[in-house]
Amino acid sequence: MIEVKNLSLAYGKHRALQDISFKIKQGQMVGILGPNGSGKSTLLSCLCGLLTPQHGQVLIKDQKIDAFKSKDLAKILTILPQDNHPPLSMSCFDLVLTGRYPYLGLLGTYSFEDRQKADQAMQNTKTFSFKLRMTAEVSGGELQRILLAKTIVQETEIIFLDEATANLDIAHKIEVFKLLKKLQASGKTIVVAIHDLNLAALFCPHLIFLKEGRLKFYGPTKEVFNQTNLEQVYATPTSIFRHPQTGAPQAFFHLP
Amino acid sequence: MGLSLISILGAIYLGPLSIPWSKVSACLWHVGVQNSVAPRELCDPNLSLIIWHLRMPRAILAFLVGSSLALSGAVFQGLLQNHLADPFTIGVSTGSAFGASLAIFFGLTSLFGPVTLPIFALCGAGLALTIVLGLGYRGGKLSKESLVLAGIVVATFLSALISLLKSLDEESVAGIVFWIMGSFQGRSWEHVSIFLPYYIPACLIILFWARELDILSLGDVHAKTLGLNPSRVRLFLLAGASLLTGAAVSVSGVIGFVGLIIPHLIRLSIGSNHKKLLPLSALLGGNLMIWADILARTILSGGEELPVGVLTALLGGPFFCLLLVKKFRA
Repeated sequence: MIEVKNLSLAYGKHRALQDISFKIKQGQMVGILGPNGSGKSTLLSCLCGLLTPQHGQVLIKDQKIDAFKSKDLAKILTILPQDNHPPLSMSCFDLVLTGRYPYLGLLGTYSFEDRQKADQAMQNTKTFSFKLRMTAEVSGGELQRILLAKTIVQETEIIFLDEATANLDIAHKIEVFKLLKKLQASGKTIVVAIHDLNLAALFCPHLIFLKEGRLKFYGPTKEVFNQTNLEQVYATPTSIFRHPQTGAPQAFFHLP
Repeated sequence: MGLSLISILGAIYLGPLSIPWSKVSACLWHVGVQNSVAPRELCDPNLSLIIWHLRMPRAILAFLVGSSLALSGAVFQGLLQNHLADPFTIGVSTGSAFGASLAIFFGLTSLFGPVTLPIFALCGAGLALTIVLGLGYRGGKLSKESLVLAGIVVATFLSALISLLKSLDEESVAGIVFWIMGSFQGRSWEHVSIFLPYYIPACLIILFWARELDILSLGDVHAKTLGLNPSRVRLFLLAGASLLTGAAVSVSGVIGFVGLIIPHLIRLSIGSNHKKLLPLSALLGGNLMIWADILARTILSGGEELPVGVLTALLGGPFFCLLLVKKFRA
């Protein structure tokens, strides 16, 4: 589904990504982990075509990403970016509805079906009850879930999320990840950049570790989420325990 | 729409010389609908002249200019995601005023007949837009930050040039100042006819891209993930809105505050859905301008006119303050 070959990108002299290669199959859910400035967001931007790397290439469904027409690409993949500043006087429902933009015909009006899908996505993200409020009148966490609804309603095969759950409380974090698992079960490919190691280990079957712009480890969570790897990437003494329910590896950090 | 008709009728009826309704309606009916000359006892030819060649084109022009300014104000605010943006932010109107000032300065005001100043003004607007776009493009992208900066630089520089022209020639100062202060005094069908060819296509371009303006206001990243090229849309909308502003300034001079306030008013009542915001702004702007013009030519008892630009600024300033105070309280 997604193939990255020898990807390198520099901002001026700063090398943000260096020689990164990996493949993600259809229906996988992959977490991208790494310290601040390790290149997570830059990598996601390359994967969805927002940034063009200086070297290497990104293939989506065996086709170079820049060979797609932008409207066609918008039906295959989408990203929920980290910084979002939607206009304050836009209603939440209108914001979700913009996710249907790639499907608009020449007339440029959203159909009844588009509106139904937006309603459905708002129900799934538990935002339906404030659909008519303005974005200025909802909390940061609520806005984040509304943006998630917008991302879902775009109905793409691949969904990238950049720190999508960072400002949510734990109940909503779990809610969002359960929803992502459901989307994954329906065949969608999901890639999340995330800081919360334990949440990633709990929900993502595969993990990518980045450090200083290089791909350090990539594999099934049970194999790569271990003490040596984490200590190498984060330079912090770590112990690994098992999640009592699922058996997923969970990390605890030692105080110096 | 009905409201606009009432406004235009009001503009024909109200004026320093009072014309009774019966005569207005008779004149409109005979000349406009039946295409004949009104019987003398109902409406004499002089009145007919005032109605058809003074008040009617003036009202229509006021509507067109008002709606252009409000529409392009709404576009600029959405495009630059800046609530303080208005048709004058981007420097096009200053370019327009500069073109006209240049013509007045060199005494070329009757080179091509009565439409000379508008032609010069349009050229000035085009020049300003070209410079702004030239400065605004960075690395093949048209970002809103560089546009605002380029617009302010160009506007400041050109208004300095206008001041220079004014100080170089004492005689043309009055002409320049009067022209820059917007007014509809003495505007005729000719002005309407040079304005319409810009008005119609520019409005169509803008209304066609209304949905894209919504998408653009989410930010460039969202626009791109939805399959929209932000630079391209920005260029089209900028061209459309600048065309409107430049053409409006070229026939009426600089009329402030309409383009700033009207979109805010509409946004406060219906939100920022551009499919509704744009046409409603245009309608309200047009109607308000007709009434501002009626006020401008009737408010002074001696029959003199107040420049309508002064009036809108006088009324608009305090009104905008009120709006701000209310917003901060809420």
